[in-house]
Amino acid sequence: MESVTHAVSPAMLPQAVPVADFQWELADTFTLYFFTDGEFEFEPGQMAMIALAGVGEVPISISSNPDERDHIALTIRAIGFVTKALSRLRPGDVVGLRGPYGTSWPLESAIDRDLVIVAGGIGLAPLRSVIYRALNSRGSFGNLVLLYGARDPTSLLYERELHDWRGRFDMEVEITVDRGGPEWMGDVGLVTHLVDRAQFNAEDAIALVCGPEIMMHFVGEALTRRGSRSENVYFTMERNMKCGIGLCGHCQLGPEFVCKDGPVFPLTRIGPLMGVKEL
Amino acid sequence: MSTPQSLVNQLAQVEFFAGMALPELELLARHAHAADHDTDEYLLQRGRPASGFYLITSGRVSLELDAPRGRLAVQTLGAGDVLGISWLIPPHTWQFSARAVKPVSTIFFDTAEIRQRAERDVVLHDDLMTRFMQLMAKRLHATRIQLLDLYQPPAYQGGEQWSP
Repeated sequence: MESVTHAVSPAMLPQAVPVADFQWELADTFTLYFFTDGEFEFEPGQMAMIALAGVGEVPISISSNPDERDHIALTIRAIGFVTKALSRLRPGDVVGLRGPYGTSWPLESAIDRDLVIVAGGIGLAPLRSVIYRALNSRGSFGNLVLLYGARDPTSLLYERELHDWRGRFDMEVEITVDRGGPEWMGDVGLVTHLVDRAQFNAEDAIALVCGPEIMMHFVGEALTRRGSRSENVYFTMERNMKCGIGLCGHCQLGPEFVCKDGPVFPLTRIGPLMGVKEL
Repeated sequence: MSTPQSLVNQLAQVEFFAGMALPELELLARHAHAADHDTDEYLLQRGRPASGFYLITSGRVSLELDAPRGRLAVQTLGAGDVLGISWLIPPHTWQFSARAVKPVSTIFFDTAEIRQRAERDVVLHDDLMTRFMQLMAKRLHATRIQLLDLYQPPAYQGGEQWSP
């Protein structure tokens, strides 16, 4: 990263911050890095609001190591007006940043228990920070399991980290894709199938899940079949957000504001709402 | 022929055979043998007669179709999974090929006699059909979800989606 440093303020007003580094992760997904001078403390699972003057503002989950306080990273998929504009940023360009907002993954409740992380597609981004945190205090947990499903081998996010994590002796990493080409030597199939065969004590493990809602629904079912208790299963939810602080109602999901009450919810709270068509 | 009790006990612990009556487990065990397969060895080959099924005890097996651009994997199976459904259904030929993608250990069940016995024994027939129907339903369900292409971004509808 370049040596330009500007502090990101946690205040409610957006702070003008230059992009420190830009990196394409996939054909449509990129990561923006910002220096923070240690003033932007966040917990894994929380998000930031990133604004581009004259274009708009979007909430993005923070995907960097929460224990490295000198910078934050936001991994973004270019799918809409604002995110496509963000994909054209380069180091030195200035954005507005505010946050962090929302609830975090309940890592403290996983202490001395197995920790199962289930990600689908770009859902690995909000989970990368919790993986870093878990690895930073690896001795505090039982089995650490990452189950990751993606569309195809070219859609695997954070490939370098996946290789690193897979090479560790204290972490189980299982990866599957929906469509494997002739060169793919790994697993093909649903991520739910990985839940069936992973090594963890389902009755006691804490499970953190992020991905498309339908995928999370089926992962929840697979975990329940394995014997997981729904109060030990957590999902992170995705809704169209505007204010980020529970005032505007854009992200309302039944009685919950995803930006303020979430984005991380226990399955016991969010499960009944996920099947409601109107929500 | 005596049935090794250890194999019966081993089968009873497998989810696929859970709750199966002891005489049926003993029948299966009498027609079972353990096998090891090297990487890239084919357990099943598309179009060949389907004469049984496998219980995978370790390793990984890729269920594949040969296509003009190379072999295409449709699903990967591992320890605890049952491989082979076509023995139940006419014309009793394998519809997919199955290849060991890493060294694999299996228990192979030769179903020639089991099928004949099931034609006379309604209870055995129903039990086997129910178990394999559940397996087929599970795989059909998984295939349908794969076809949904869940990981593609949702269609842009005028608002910005939260990333992820």
